[in-house]
Amino acid sequence: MIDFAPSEAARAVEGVARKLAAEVLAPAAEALDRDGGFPRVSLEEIAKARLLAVNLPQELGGRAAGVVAYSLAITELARGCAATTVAVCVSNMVAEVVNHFGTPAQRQLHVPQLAAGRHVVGAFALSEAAAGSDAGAMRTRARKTDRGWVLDGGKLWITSGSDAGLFVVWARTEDTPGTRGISAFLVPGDVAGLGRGKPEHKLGLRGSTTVALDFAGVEVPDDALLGERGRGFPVAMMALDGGRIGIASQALGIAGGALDAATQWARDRFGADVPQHVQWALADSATELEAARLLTLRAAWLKETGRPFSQAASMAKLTASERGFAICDRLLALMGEAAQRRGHPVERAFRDIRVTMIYEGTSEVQRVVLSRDIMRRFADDGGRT
Amino acid sequence: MTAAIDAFEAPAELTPVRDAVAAFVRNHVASQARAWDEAEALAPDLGRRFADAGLSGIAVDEVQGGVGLSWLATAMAAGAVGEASGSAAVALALHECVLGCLADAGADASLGRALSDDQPWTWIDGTHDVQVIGRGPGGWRIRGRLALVPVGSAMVINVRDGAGVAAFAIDRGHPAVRIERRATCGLRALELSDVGIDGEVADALRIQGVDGDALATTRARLVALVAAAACGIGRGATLAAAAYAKTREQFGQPIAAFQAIAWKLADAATVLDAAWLSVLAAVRAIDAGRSAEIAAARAALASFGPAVRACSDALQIHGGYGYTTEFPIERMLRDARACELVGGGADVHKGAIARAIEARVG
Ligand SMILES: Cc1cc2nc3c(=O)[nH]c(=O)nc-3n(C[C@H](O)[C@H](O)[C@H](O)COP(=O)(O)OP(=O)(O)OC[C@H]3O[C@@H](n4cnc5c(N)ncnc54)[C@H](O)[C@@H]3O)c2cc1C
Repeated sequence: MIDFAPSEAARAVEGVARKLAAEVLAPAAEALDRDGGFPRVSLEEIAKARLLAVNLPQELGGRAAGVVAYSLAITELARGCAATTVAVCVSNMVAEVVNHFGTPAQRQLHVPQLAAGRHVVGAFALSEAAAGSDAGAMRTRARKTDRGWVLDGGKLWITSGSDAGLFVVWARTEDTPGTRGISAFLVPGDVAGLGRGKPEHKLGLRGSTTVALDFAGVEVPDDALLGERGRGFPVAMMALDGGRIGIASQALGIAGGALDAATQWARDRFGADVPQHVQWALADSATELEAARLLTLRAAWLKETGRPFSQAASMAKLTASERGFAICDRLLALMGEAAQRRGHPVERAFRDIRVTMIYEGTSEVQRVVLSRDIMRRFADDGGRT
Repeated sequence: MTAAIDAFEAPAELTPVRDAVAAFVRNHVASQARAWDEAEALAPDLGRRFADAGLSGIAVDEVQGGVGLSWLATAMAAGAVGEASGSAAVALALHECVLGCLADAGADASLGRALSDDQPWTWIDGTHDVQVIGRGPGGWRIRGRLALVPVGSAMVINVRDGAGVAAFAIDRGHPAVRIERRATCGLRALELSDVGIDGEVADALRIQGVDGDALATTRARLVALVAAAACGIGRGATLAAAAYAKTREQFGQPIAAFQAIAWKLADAATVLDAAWLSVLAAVRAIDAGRSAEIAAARAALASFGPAVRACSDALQIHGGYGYTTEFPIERMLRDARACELVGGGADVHKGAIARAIEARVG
């Protein structure tokens, strides 16, 4: 028997997120989108609800609610405000990566702080101006000294980079090229030599800051190294595998919110006599959304139960982001003048969701990785995919 | 414009106008499109600039003060301007429709004012929302509400008049007009507004001779020209993406070397060319004086969706950079999606085309 029902506990977390989304995130979303900025107050409420550490142990301040609960919570939050939600996604990802790869001391030091929002949020600093999809081409360096490490270089597009209190930063520590010789570091936000650029102006997600970071001789101690020296790249890739479940969930929430708004519009505008082109748009959107939701929850369940989930997470992210954008675009076109007004939920959804096809691995990168997996499995499984 | 993304080579007599438009776009549009979008306003003298570049009354007879070319030339201009600024291209389309309508009606006084105005005018089909409700001492009493329509320094507004239609050339400051400016997703530099109309409009402002046929003619022109603008937006985005893909390197090679990138460009060029051919079919029908409503509807259907798709793909090719306002692509995506606000939604066009097909088979 396949059981599609999330547990009571997961549903409870979803309920908490739904309430926060409705009461805290949604009311602030339009102004945040219009004016930009950083949603500090909302994030404080989210931290109080322990949604910055949904899948982290209770003894470290987390909810220990599992990955399905995490996915459901992110979907609900994204219905309220996609921009606030991406900060939550990244912070959860950072907490998980510290928990997974950190020493007991690093875990004890950082996870409770992240969970309680005392770092505001965590940030994930991998991309560089010339190293996006090809993160292994990064140039930021960390040089070993007697007292620890010195970081020099620059990162680009770092979510929450304006306000985050803790960064995981990837830097080259060895002379080997490509993905080898990269290490991960835990860098506090107030460290000397760390410059935070001005937030980028963006199509959407305008309430999330996306900033360049400059490392000019940033000194960190030896125990800032996260995981093994020279083995940082797999740390990033594993973090992003889980992260993709978060981004898929975010896309589900954004598109789901757009579908809610379109359905409300259809009811108000047409009453019992909804024309078929509207019926079709709602039917197709709901069907595509459901397919993406099943993929996402399955990926979450695989991760939660300790099974391999990387491929499932890629499929979920690819589907939820691409179908999600198609849904928002379709609904915007369908509603025309009613939805094209700036700040309308469908208009905002159209702008916000577009980035889910880009960050945490573009759609093209997902396809590259997926096809590699498929070929490998075909070979391993005697000619079956 | 290169042959690779524009199957249509301009006929010899249109080469000068093509070159003039290209120069105009280079000198007056490309460098300002972003600023217009951010300011949510076009240059205050854009009408004058169109005129100075020979882009005012392109299809209007020279004796009436126009350039004396064709709607084909007008569509080329709208497309070329669209490559750099969707808002300016749609403004041009609207202004040209105003001029064409006034010229057809022989409304020389209004035509003269529109041709010499510093700012473009707009043409609005308000026949579903605004009507003549009678006469008063000051002229025709009209009333209605228009949702998210483009406002110019003056507007030619078509309204319902009993079983027929009437058209008025009304200044934006006219006391019967209340304009509420709205922020929109795309075409932000067009002054899209909710417009309330309630009051008396002097006889002199009524454009005599605009009947249902004249309305349909201008409507078809507008739909075809906005489709041309959309093709231009898609083309502009695709060319920008191609240029970016040749220089951006990842994994040790220009991303243009990846099929995933190259094929997006190929797909966009193919569907945008097909869309452009459908625009040409529509403007040729218009120039030949044939009924062009269906051809224009098909051009709109063929253009709006593919333009959005081309812009979205161009954004994807730009990766994270494409999502930022540093690059023009996010604006082009918004503008492409907003073309339907002026050029009509798919439901309208599909309805018209379907009715025409059904009529054809008896
Ligand atoms: C709002 C926002 C927030 C972000 N937040 C963060 C963050 O918190 N931390 C962080 O580290 N980064 C972050 N990023 C960066 C993001 O992860 C990168 O933008 C993304 O990885 C793509 O890299 P790029 O932009 O350099 O595009 P490029 O890698 O230059 O890609 C350009 C195009 O080429 C395609 N391409 C590349 N390689 C191939 C290939 N082998 N085959 C086929 N096609 C290919 C891409 O799919 C894309 O379409 C953020 C970006 C944005 C826009």
